[in-house]
Amino acid sequence: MKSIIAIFAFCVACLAPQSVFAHAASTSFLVVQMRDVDAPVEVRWDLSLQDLAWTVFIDADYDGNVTWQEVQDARPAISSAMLGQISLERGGSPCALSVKDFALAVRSEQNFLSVAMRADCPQRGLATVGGGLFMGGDASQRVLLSAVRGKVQLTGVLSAADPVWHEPAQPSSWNSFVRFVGEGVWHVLIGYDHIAFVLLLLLPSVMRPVDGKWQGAQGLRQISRDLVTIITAFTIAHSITLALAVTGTVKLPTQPIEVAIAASIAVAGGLNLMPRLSRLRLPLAFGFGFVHGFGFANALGEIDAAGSSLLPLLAGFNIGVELAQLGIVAVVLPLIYAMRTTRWYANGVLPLGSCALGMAGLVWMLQRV
Amino acid sequence: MGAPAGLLALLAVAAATRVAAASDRFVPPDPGFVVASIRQTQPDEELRPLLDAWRADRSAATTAALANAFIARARARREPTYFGRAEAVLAPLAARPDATATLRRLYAEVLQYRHDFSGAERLLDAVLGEHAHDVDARLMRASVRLVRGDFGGARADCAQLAASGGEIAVPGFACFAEALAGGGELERALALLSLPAHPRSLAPADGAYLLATRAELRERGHNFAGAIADYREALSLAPADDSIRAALADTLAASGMNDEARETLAVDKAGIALLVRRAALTQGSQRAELASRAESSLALEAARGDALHFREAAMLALVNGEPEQALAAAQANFEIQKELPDVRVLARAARAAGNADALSVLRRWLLDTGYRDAVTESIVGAVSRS
Repeated sequence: MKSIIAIFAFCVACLAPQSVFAHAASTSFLVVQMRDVDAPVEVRWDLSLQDLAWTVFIDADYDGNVTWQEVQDARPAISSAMLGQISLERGGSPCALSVKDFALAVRSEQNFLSVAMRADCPQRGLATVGGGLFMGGDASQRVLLSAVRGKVQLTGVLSAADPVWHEPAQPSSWNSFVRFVGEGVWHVLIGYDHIAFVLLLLLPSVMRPVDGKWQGAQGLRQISRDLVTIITAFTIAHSITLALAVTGTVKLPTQPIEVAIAASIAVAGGLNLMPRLSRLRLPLAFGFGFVHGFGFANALGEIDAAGSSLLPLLAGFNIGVELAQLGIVAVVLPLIYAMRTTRWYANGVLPLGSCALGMAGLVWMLQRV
Repeated sequence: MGAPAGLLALLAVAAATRVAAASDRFVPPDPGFVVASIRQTQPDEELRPLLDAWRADRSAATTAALANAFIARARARREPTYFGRAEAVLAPLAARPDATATLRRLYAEVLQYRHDFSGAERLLDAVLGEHAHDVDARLMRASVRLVRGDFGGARADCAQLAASGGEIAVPGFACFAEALAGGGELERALALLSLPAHPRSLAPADGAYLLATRAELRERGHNFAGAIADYREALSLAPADDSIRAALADTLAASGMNDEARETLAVDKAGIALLVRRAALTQGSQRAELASRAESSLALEAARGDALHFREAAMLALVNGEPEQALAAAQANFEIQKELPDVRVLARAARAAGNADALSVLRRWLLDTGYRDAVTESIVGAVSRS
């Protein structure tokens, strides 16, 4: 309500902090295409005529409307002004910019002048974009830059306070891979729900159902084979959905996925209390693996991956997740293997642990619905 | 579940990618095709001499005159570019230690528009430190403090203004009531605004402010009928004020009068605040279209790095059934401003996201400040006050 003070005619202190404007603040759009290291750089600059008209005289008949003919007539002046307001370098050497053509483009529900330019650069290397960019007279002016380098898309925002964009160096595939292995490990270690699900798969892995009750399994080989089968099924399933989601092949909203992940924990916890249904553990791990894969994709989406190629990113993250899972197995398995034949494991640790984790899953599910 | 800042940063990156991507180019076949109207954004007869004078001599006086004219146009024409032009001429002088009070006050106004409330308050503190009787600076600081939820600080400023006499006493009186209500004295504030004089006997802007303030307080006390009557009268005095229009629509909707709320919001060139509310009150394809337009505006804003409409971003996310995003935006907004719609959208988003911690934090804020709003309390649950 404080904004109402703003309309006091007597007062220069117009107080409308949240005033709403139908027009957007001054914004121009710069698209830089660097298809090949040796090819000329293609530049497209979409600019509002309302901003341009502060610098270049365009409205020849003074009627307040700029026609396409008036734009054409003012083309030399507009071209000169625009070329004077932008600079592009590659590898530290300035490129020669020239105007190719004029057209229009609709931006923010308005017609913008869209000027295509070509930049001939004497050197290869990383690009730098700067210049006045018509920001001198309007501190709110922003230039939204979209650069395409091969298949990688980069973005930047230029302002009077930060008027130069430097193309970031492309990380090597190996560096991307190593970085995302770490991200995968980290995601599992901080993701309590994922750890809970893996623990629920682990807890009964050292037991066998006998007459509707859990009994300690004999032989490490059998236990290992069973565990490897289940973990592999889970891994295959979540790798598939992770790849599908990251490549954009399948897109699902976050909330139902988060609910389903919590539900998987509740179901896995419940299943561990019913030894007769232990044969369902494998299909459960496989089925819910698909759901967890989408969860991993959401987590991966929150990481700034600008400039990274898809393959090392995906492979690195997935391997990181597997390493973390194996780490959990390596820590937990010896402990529960040693305890498997004790009564308090069959009657205490396994049912109570499963129950506690399952209940936690239920609570998370209700919170996320 | 990421922190609000993280989620918002992610959304900003997504918005930047989407907004900055190229759209189709075209060449109009008709040379007479009107590309754009530049009437509202070009220097007029009044502005040209101010620009010429400023270009000839960039003194404090010419700069203040030009910046003042830019700001007036920004408001009257709803053209934010003029705020940018005002900032561009003010910034070099306003930052100097010997800057005049007028220049700093104008610069504070630009900062306030950009929602840099702490920057604006610092500047106004400096002005008032040197010129304690600058009532315009004091009124502006009171407004900033109210927006930031500093009701104690605002109360001190408003009390001085109300006691100072003259024209400034009217908004001072209203802002004093608002500060009282923010600090837990809703009934006393309402009693203060039982106006002896009819608001229509005041200047329209004064009357509108007093009425809208009383309307908000009535609404917070669950007197929706009284609030609607006051908002309607305030809007008749200030029909171009979108904040009153939005507040009236919110109250109508809260009273179940959705048709009237939609009618209230049906104006030409509606900004994001009105668009989002219209989307919330509309169904089917029209809702999708309104929501899409609002999303485009918010995406552009996010891509630019502006923080002007987190409140509306939260509202829109609620309309779209995205409670986590709504909560992230509402929490980010609450860091910046704490007006009635900000409090309510945070409560709604926290409830929708099922986030007990966020509800608890809001409940704690209500307890600590004494802030009362019947609608918010019905959302967050009982707030027991001793």
